Amino acid sequence: MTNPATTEDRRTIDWLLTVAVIAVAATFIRAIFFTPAEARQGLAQKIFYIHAPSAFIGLYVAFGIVALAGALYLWLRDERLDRIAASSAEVGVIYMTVVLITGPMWGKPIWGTWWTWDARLTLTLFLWFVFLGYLILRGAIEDHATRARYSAVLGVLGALLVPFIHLSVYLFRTLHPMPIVLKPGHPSLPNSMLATFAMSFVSFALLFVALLRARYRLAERMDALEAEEELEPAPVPNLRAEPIR
Amino acid sequence: MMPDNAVFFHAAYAAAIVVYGGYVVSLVVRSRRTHARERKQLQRGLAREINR
Repeated sequence: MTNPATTEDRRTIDWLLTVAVIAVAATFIRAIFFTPAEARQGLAQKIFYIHAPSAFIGLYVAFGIVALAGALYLWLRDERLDRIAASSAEVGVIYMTVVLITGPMWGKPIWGTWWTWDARLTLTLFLWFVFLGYLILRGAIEDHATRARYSAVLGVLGALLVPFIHLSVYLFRTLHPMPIVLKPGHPSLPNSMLATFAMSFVSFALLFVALLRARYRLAERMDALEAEEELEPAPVPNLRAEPIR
Repeated sequence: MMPDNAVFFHAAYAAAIVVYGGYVVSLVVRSRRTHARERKQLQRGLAREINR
């Protein structure tokens, strides 16, 4: 006889999430054991293989999806778009949390400081707060349509920070380095590091898709439950209870 | 000479595992709770059918 909890876990940790976790584990092994350390930065440079792909996927992909799905929701009023936006925002906040934790851990040995209030870092922190607010807002509003409409507007407005974050290293004086892979011309990385970066990018992208899918399915089930509960008749009061004295 | 900063590198990888792993655990926990609610709702529905 199958255990219902185990069956339930298999619905969340499905084949795609399993493949993604194996891919991320393989990337970590390659980055730690089979990729040379950078001569001037030492082992701390290997934080790049977590920090950069998490930042790219969190910033451009996750919050891009939130904005696009939010804008389309405002136009089409399709609940599936609201679910996609909410799921992408939650996974995006997780990715950006990793970025904001690993960034200072890389900055301390290289810059000599955990944090500096320059444009790139400060705007990224603001964006994280905006999308954390987005998730709190969704938890605070019970009515489906109102929650979807308000959060779609916030998602679209919040994502407007993304181009400013991207351009901040060109527009302002900042400690944060310029792009070294995604830039015009050739990437400034040796091939061994570039291969590890490509692998980390693919594995974190796969993890994003798997987490987004798992979160979307959960949202679908939770919405169906809420809809069923709204349709249920209210409990009949017990008229034979003791009278109030 | 290469600087010795392995502690930051180890801490960053550990932190990433904790955050991503924690999120997967949170999805599993929420999925189990949702499943429990679904079962309760099914039981309530069946009870109503029987009482009808």
